[in-house]
Amino acid sequence: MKDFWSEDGPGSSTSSKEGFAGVKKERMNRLIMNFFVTEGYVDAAREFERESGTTTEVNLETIKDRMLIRRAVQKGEVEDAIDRVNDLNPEILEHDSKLFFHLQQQRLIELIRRKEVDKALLFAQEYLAPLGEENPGFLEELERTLALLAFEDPLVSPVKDLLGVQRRQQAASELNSAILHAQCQEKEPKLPNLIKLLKWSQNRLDDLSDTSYPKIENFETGETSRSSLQTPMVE
Amino acid sequence: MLGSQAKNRMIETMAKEPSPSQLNTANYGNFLKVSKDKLSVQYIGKGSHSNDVGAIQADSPVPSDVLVYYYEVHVRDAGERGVIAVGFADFHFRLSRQPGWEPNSYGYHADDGNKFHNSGKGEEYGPSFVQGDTVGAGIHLENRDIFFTKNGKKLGVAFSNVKATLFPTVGLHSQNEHVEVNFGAKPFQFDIEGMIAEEREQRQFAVLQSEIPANACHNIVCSYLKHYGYADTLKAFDEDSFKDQLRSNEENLQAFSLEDRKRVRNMLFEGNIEGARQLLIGRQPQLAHSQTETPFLDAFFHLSVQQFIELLRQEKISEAVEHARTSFSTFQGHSDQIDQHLEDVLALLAYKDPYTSPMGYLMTTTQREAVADAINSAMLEASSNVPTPYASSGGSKTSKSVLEKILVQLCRVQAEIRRKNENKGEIFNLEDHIA
Repeated sequence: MKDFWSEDGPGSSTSSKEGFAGVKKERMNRLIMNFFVTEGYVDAAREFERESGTTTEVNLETIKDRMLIRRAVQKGEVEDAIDRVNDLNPEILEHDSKLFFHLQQQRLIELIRRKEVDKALLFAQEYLAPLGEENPGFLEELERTLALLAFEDPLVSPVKDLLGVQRRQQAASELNSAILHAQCQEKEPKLPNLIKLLKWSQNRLDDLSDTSYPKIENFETGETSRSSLQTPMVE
Repeated sequence: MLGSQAKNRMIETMAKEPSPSQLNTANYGNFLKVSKDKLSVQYIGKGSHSNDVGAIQADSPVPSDVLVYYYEVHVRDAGERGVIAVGFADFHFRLSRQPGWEPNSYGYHADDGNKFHNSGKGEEYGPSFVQGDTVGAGIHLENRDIFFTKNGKKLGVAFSNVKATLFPTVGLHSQNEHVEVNFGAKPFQFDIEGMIAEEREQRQFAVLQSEIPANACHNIVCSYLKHYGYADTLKAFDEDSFKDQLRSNEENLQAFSLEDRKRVRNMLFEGNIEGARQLLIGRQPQLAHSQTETPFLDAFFHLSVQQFIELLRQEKISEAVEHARTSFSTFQGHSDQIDQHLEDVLALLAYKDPYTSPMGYLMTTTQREAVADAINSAMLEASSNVPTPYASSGGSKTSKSVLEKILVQLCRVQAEIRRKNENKGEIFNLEDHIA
């Protein structure tokens, strides 16, 4: 199969050639470091600094709070996380009702996970139902969460995604980003934005022309549509 | 690969395209008088005939590498009849005609406020303009449309699907008409910066709406750390994110484990070249005899070069020379790249202080990292226990991490989008999105 992308990349007579054959390692390292620092992965950032020699201007000590809060959410200790956030800055949760709801919802999920059914129901009625009354979207999510109680084994139910690690990670990231925002620091890591930009760009190219090209369909493996049948992954 | 620093530096200093800065006084229409600063022009004819227009263009075309191009014209004197036209026209434009009357020309006319393109008959567009007014003309290069402004207010899109390479063009047609052109040396009446910022914000908003798998970032980071053998970071990241995945199982069957790759990387960082070499040979004894076979040719070559560099670092000059003499010949002649790199490396000997020499980059930690990457890549290739005709075909000697695949794809797609847009619009620069 002839490579669709020519050696220098298409239409590159005026554009920089870097990026077509490969990307400087140092740039990728900076992207990874930026991800660790903005997402509050302190230990990973420290190890990465040592292993790759990539430095960061951010004082890693200052992201310790964020790391502890993230860890609490990821361990399922949502209450602890909420206390810590309020110690740090009570306005963060006061001003973001969506975030607050998601954390309370996560608390409910953790209660259900621990099979504390009575506590879960009490908590839902007392804290979550009032929030749901204000916002139909919240109510819908609350109903979906309570559906977990209806299954003998929620892990094989249609709402099993709520019990996944990803769910905790999402809540943790949302909270982390709110803290960063309150501290007027850079809010979003660059990496997700670049992946989204790729998806958006591919769609735009599709709109502009009918020519098919090797399109990345799987953003977790980098597999392309054209070569996925022919090239087994080498990793 | 390793000698690419110099090349990249060159690319980064590449100049941007020139932008119009004044009126073109080498070639302009009849009946015009241009000021000394080449920014004002006056009509001194009678303007009694339709071919008596005096038109003048800017000294350069609209640059192709910007998102929006914009300039303004201030009417000092509307003259006898106020028949001034502001707009754009291509290089072949007849300077005895108003912009808009001819093909590949676009104009906004003062007397009736109409817009003109390729016709003597205009279409209703905006208000008329007179003495004291400031009118602007802009091209959105990515949307390929032209808009005008009056006294700082945008009048909306006038023309779309604009393709030609255009010059800012002004036409005057009655006695005493006098206009002053601003190509950006002075502040504009219209908030062009604001418009561009808004465009970018809208774009960014649309980008953020794109949905990607919730765990995409985590997985990409993990596979990056694994790919390059950053085992301790991976472990810390796993612990930080409470992932209880066993990663080692899949590694056991491979020629080099993640742990091996990590150890080699650490040793290279400490300058312990011999340790790294011993580990490679310990795992694959046949390497002791054949150091020039793929995928290990590059690896052993870089180890050998790095040994030389580390000796220089310790100021053991004669040992370094001795090492070069005995070891480098093994690799000479295998490829032009290798020969070129050897030349660069040996040039270090010519300088009293190699650190500040033109080859100083060879002495940096970045270079150690680059060598570690080359060797890591060889170990990865040797470990891909599914020998496949595709894996090594296509000229890609080294496998890429998912992150790199994604970034390369982004650059390629962005360039292709610009090519589809007749090579107009901003040039994508990955660095802007990383720094």
